[in-house]
Parts: sequence; structure tokens; C-alpha cells
Amino acid sequence: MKRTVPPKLAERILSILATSGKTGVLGDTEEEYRLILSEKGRFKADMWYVWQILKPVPFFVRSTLYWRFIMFKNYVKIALRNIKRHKGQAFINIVGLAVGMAVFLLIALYVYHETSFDKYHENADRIYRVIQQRKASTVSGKSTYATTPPALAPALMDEFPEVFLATRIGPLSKILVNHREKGFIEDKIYCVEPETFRIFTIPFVMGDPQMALHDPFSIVLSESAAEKYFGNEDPIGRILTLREKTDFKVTGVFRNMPDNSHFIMDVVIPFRTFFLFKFGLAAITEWSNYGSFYAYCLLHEDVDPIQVDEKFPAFLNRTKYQAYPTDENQKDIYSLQPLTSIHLHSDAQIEIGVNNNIGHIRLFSFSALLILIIACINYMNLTAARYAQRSKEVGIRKVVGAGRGQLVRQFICESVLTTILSLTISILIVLLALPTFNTFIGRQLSLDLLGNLDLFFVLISVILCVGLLSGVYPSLFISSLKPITSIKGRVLKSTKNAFLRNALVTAQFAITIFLIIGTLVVKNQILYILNKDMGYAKDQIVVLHTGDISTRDNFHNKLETIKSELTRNSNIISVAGSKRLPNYMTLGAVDILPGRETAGNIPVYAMWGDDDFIDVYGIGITAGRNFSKEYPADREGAILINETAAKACRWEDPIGKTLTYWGNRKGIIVGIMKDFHFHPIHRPIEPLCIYYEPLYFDYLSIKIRGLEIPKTIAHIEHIMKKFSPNHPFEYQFFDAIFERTYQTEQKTGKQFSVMAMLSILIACMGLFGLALFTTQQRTKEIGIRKVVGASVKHIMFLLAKEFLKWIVVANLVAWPVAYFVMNRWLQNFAFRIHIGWVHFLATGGISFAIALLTVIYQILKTATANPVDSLRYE
Amino acid sequence: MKELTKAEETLLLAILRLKDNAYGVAIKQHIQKTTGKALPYGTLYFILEQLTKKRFVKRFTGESKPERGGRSRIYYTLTSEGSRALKHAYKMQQKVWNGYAELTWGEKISE
Repeated sequence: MKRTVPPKLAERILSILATSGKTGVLGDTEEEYRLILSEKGRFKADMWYVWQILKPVPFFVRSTLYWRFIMFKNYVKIALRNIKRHKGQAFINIVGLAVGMAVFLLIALYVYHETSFDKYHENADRIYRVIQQRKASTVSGKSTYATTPPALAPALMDEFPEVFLATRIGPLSKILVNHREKGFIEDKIYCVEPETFRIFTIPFVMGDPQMALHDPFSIVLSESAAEKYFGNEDPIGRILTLREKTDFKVTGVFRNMPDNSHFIMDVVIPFRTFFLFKFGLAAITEWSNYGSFYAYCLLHEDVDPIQVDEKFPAFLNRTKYQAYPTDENQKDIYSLQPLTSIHLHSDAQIEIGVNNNIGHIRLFSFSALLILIIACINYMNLTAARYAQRSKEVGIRKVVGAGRGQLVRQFICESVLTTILSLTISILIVLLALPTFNTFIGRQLSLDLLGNLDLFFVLISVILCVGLLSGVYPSLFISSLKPITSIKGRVLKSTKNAFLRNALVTAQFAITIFLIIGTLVVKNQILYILNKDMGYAKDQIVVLHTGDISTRDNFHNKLETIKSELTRNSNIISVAGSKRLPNYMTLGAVDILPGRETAGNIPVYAMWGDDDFIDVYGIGITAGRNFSKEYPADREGAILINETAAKACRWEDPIGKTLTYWGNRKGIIVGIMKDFHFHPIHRPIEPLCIYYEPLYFDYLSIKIRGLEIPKTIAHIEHIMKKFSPNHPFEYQFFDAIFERTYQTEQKTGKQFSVMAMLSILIACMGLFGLALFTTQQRTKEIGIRKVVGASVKHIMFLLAKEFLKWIVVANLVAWPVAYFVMNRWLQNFAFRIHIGWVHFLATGGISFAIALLTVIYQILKTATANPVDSLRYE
Repeated sequence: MKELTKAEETLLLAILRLKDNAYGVAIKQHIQKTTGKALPYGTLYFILEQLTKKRFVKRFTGESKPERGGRSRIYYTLTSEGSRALKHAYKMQQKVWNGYAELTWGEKISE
């Protein structure tokens, strides 16, 4: 039996399409189908049936889409007209949203970059770094170290079946590298094992990664380093000289490591070669913690890192504690740290590079979302207020026959239009702000959205969704109005949302006030730091970093000659050599034996310098004397201690007492220094001693007169070139170095002020929207008040009171929070300012002024309006 | 009284002519025969519904037929209002067209 019914699918489609007389249509069609079937066969009948469905399509297109398009054109036209007519309001509305979006975009870019660290390595999920917890040497409460003994990496490969490959990496700082006359002081120079290029994904452009570091005197460069030294010439086989002493042959060039790596290498030499020169080859199997070496390993697939962690204690007993027996409680705990978590989650001592902090990133993302949400809510309220002014248009449209759906469509269409405008403006803002933002965060981000399509689509869709969603509420609100009320202009009678709206604006102002107080406190603290008497001089001191030169032969023998040659210039007062600068002296705590009078040892910070150090930095001597060449005995060992150390020792008279340091050196205390802040101001002043050891100075400090500074600098350069001709001349002023110590605080200050500015902007938008809403709502009331005899002044006062009361509430909410949070922040500093009433009162005043400025226009307009206009329709 | 549209007129006349057999397929075929135009069912039923709403026609559900997939035929008949409206329309037409033949006398009417 052949099929005599129409095709099932076609029938179903028809039943969906048939809106009127469904049974009739379906029945009739089927009846006629059978007629045709019996007369002309099934193919024709089927064709006919399908045709019945297709036939109305062009008609449908014309009647719906075409008219929709016509209406769409009308919507766009009306929207543009409205933007033109209310330029100010539209501007505030669109730009407000754009700023919110731009901030979100910028922070999203930043967060995306920060969370992408080290993920580009092919085996990123299998690479780990070994870190250790050293209870025995806890410095400022931290006991986790990122460095490990040099013997670790080879032992890992030998003794752990889970470990596929392991390498040790040592960063070498500030090494002079020469190609003939062309020399640079390299900062990103590393010594590594050849396995490094197998563990990490560092593709080679030239040379063979397996063999590149095979030869002890081979050197591998990044593309940018190769270009720096050799320009366009072929670098392979060329010679580079390190520290003007050792020649290395270039054997490979690798692609520049991307910015999102937790360490970036430019110049790479074999690990063994460096070790041989620095410590002697025997030390390469050393288990003590010296030097800064990092151990990275690549595990086999499907290995749980915990398996390795659990094996570490037994492994260390077999190796490290065989050589250095240690009390069980003092043993170090080793563990694996995933590569991808180093940048955001690691907080160890002696990190290989500068890491970020996940809390910081979370805070950033949270504030970005908050700003976006608040900007959206403001946009919503402002848009609703703007649409409400058009209630008459809505009324007329409804009367002429527009359905609710059409009106919703119209207003959503307008919202989408403004959102797209905002988005365009926000992208412009991002492009303009990116360079500043980059210097602020210290990264090189770019809005290369086309190069990163995932990010592009996510961002654009998030932003469009947000824009659409915030457009829906006002659209629904305005289209739900009844024509009668909307034509009469009584739109905003409902007060059920009033509380929410006020609360929102109050919250925004509270946040703003908090941020303003924060800004004031941070800026005051920074000013306090910069102006505080640190106990040493900061001005007119030129600092040369001589770390690299001083390790070379004979430099400290030449030091006296250099000093006397320099001081021949009348503008140079004195020259001092020292291991550290007085603003940051942490070499690590060193235990010294203070003699029998006290129980046990006291940790004392230690460094060394020559006899001019105290003079150059103007450090006071309270008892005894400075080191001096006039006392030949000083050469045999002399020590200066600070007042805190003297107090801690509890000697009656410390001067003349003998101390032992560096294992077997003996020194006599010759004087007591006045306390100075040799640590950043976060920490109290701790015991310090300075040894008189004129060797291996990292810094030369040159005290100059404030006259003819360029000439003086030229003189210094001339002298330095004479002693070390190939060494590039670099100098810094000590006050700049000092200020850099407080970079984090300066950054926090900037962060606070930028956030404060943004939140002021956003809060003002919110308040402006509220003012628009409220004044519209009360037009009639004010009209009546004026008729009954209220003056303009009276009404202005009335309206201002309405808004300012929320500002008072916001202040009261923000003050205690700000006090608490900022006090917590100040606890970081051992020396700090106190938060006073001035901060709160000033902020209160500022917030009032901002609020008044925002609403004054609206208030004036409402208060001076002619009551005839507002009351005409009753 | 509301004016009938051309389509409504045609439909009403078709129902009048078909008497007891005025249902979808028959109406459609009849209209195709008289005017030469195929009226889709969608349009047909839309107009029929309008007419029902205006009470010019009444609907009857007939017996269900297997060739319609078990669905019933829907028959339409004119109400008295419907026939009055039709009569009115006819009168109006006559008035409107009155004298057309004399006016166009001698003109060549191209078909």
C-alpha cells in the first residue's frame, strides 16, 4: 500500500504556520492533496503540498521584516534625534557607561595577562620548581625559600623515577658583556643546564638546543640580545667577552621569551662554567644553601607531585644530612611548586623575579566587576529617567496603535545603539589610556584584540550583554505605562524603587568617600616618609654601582687612588665605598657573640664600608669615633655599632669590646652610631654593625657640591673610564634610589587616587541620575509650593537638603570603615602618621562640594522653572 | 453597515452558490474557477474568520472523513446579516457602476 497521506514533516510545519482555522486548513489541504494524488501522482502531490508551505514566505517577509525594517529606521532616527536634543544628558549617560566599560576592559586585559604566566610552555602542567622551608633561618616571619642547594637538580634526576628531567638555573646580576668595543651590562644573564631547553618551551632560531651548551665556553643569546651585539650579522660562532676576561662563543639564538614568563633570559652560559669560576667545581655537588640557584623539573606524565613531596625527607636524610647532620626540628622541608602558580601564588624569599599576588589580582578583578556593575546600574537609572521625559511620545505611539512589544523593541533598539556608542568610546579610551596604564602596572599590554580572538569575543559579548541587560529595564518600564497617564506626564509616581535608588547612590558615595580618605592617608604617609629625618643625608650624593668591577683583581687596591683622583675636583667633597647603601642594608641577619655579659647571641645586621662612609652619609657618632687611617690598628679589625645594638648588648661601655665575625675575624668596637633607618620605614630600627673591611664594595658614594653638577659628573666619568675603560659608565642619585625604596607605597597612592577619581565620576553619574529622577517627580509639588509663595532660595534649599542628607549618611557609613582599613594599612609601618579628624572633615567637605556641584544645575533649573509650565495640565 | 471588501464579497458569493457544500476545498476551487486566482488556505481561512467574527457567516463542523486524516470538514453558511450585507453590496455596486456602459460607449475595451 502506497502512502496516501502528505509528508509528516511538511504537515507539521504547516500546522505550526497555520494560525487561523487550523483544523480547517490542515483538513482541506490533505483532502486536496489526495485529489491531486489520485489525478497526477504522488510526486506532483508532494510538490504541491510543499509549495503550499513555501508560497507565503515572500509575503511573510514583506509584511513583517520589511515593515520591521521601516520601523527600525524610524527607531534609529528617533534615537539620534533624542541624543541630539539632549546632548548633555546623552553625553553623560554614554560616556559614563563607556568609562565603566573602559576600566573593565583595561583590568580584564591586565588580569588575563597576569593569569597567563608561564602557561605557554608545552609541558606547563608537568613542570615544577623545588622550594624549601627553612625553619632555621626565618627572616621577617618568612621561612619559605625559592632557592635550593646546587646539588639538588642532578640528584633529582638520579634518584626520583618520577622526574623526567631536571635543571638548575642561576641568575647572574649585572655582568659586563663585550663584543669588541661594544659592551653592555647584562641584567638578564643566566647560567643553566642544557636540559633547560628541553623542559621549557624556548624555541631556537639558530643552533641546536641539545648541543648549544655542550661546550664549556659556549653562550646562547635571545634574538634581541643577538641583535644588540651583532646587528644584522650572523651571530653564530662570534665571540663575546664576559667581565673583560673570559671569551665565549655564540652557539645558538632562541626566540625572545614572552613577557608572561616569571623569569626572562637574554644571555645564557653553561652552569658548570659559571660554577667553576665562582666556587670551584667541587662545590657543584654541595648541599649547603649558598648562591641563588633554582631547581626546576619536568615530571613524567600522570605523576602526582605529592608522591615526590613525600619522598623528600628520606631523600634529604640520605644526601644533605649525611654531609650536614642537623637537629630533627631544624631540618628543611622540600616540596614541589607548580610552574604556573609561581607568578601569582608564590611568596618565597629570594624569588627569581618579581612576582605578583593572587589577592591583588582578585581585588583588581572584583573592583573591575564592581565598577562595571555600578556603571551599568547608573546607566539604567539615568536611561530610565531620560526615557521618562519621553512619556508623551510613548503615549502617542500607544494611541496610534503601537503594541507593547513594539515599544520594548524600540527602546531596546535605542539602548543597543547607545551601548554600541559607549563601546566604541570605551575602546578609544582604552587605546588612549593604555600607555599610562602600562607604565603604572609595569607591563606591556596591548589591545591586540584581533590577535587574540578568544579574548575579543568574550569581552565584546560580556560588554554587549551588559549593555543590553541594562537597557531592558528602562525599556520595560517605559513601555508599560498606560497611555492616559503617560500623556498626562505623571510617570514617576511610584516610589517603590525610590529607596533602592537612594541606597545605591549612598553606597556609591560611601565608596568614594572611603577612597578619598584612603588617598589622603596614603599620600600623607608618603610625604611623611620622604620628609622624615632618616638619620642619614639623601641629597647630592652620586652613587656608582661597582659590584662588577670590585670583584676583579686589584680594584680595592686601586680604591685609594680612585678616591684621591676624584676628590681633586673641588666640587667633590668625599668618596666612600660600601657593600650596601644606608637605605637598605639587609644582607641577612648575622649572629655575633656579644661576650659573657648577656645570655646567648643577638641577631645583628651587618655590612662593611670604609672610613668615609659615615661622613658621606652624615651619620652621627654618639660615642667613640669613626674608623680612621690614623689608627693603624683599625686595619686589623674595627667595628661600628648602632645605638640599638649597644642597648641590646647591655654592656656598660661597649667601646673597646672585641667581637668575632665571618667565622674567625676579630674586631674591636670603636664607636657607636646614632640610630638611622637602614631598613624601609615599615620596620623598627634593629641592631646593626659596620665592619671596617675595605674590599668588594658594591657601591661608591660620592658626595658633591650642588654646583656645576654636569661638569662634576663628567669628571667622575673621566676618572672611572681611566680605571675601567670598557665598563659603561652609569650613575644614580641617592635621593632617587631612596624614593624607589617606597615604590610600592607610591604605587598604592596612585592606585588610590585613580580609583578615587573613577569612583567620584561614577558616583556623580549616579547622583545626577537621582537628581534628574527626583526633580521630575516633584515638578508639580514645586510648582504648587511656588504658587503658594515659596521663594527660589527656599526651594533650592529644600532640594539640596534632599540630596545632601544621603551624602551625610554616606560619610557616616564610610568613616569608620576607612578608619579601620587605613589603620590596618598603617600598621605595616613601624613609623607612621596618625589618622586625624582633618582627614575625615576634609573628605566630608570634598564630598559635599562634589555632590552640590553635580546637582546644582538640576536644582537651579527646577527651582527657577515657571510654575505655569509645571501645573498647566491639571 | 460596514462595507465588505472585495475578497469578502467573493467569498460570501461563493458560499451562497455552493449552498450545502460550502467548505474549504470546494470554496477554493470555486473561486479559482470564477476568478482564475488561487487563494491560499491561510488567506481563505483568515477572511472566513473575519466574516465569522462579523457574524456574516456561521460555521458547522461536519462529519470526520478518512481522506482528511480524520479531521472534520468545516462548512459555512450565510447568516441573514450576511445575505443582507451582500444585498447591500450589490445595490451599492449597481449604483456605483450605473451608466458605465453608456459612458464607455464607443471606446475600445481591451481585454
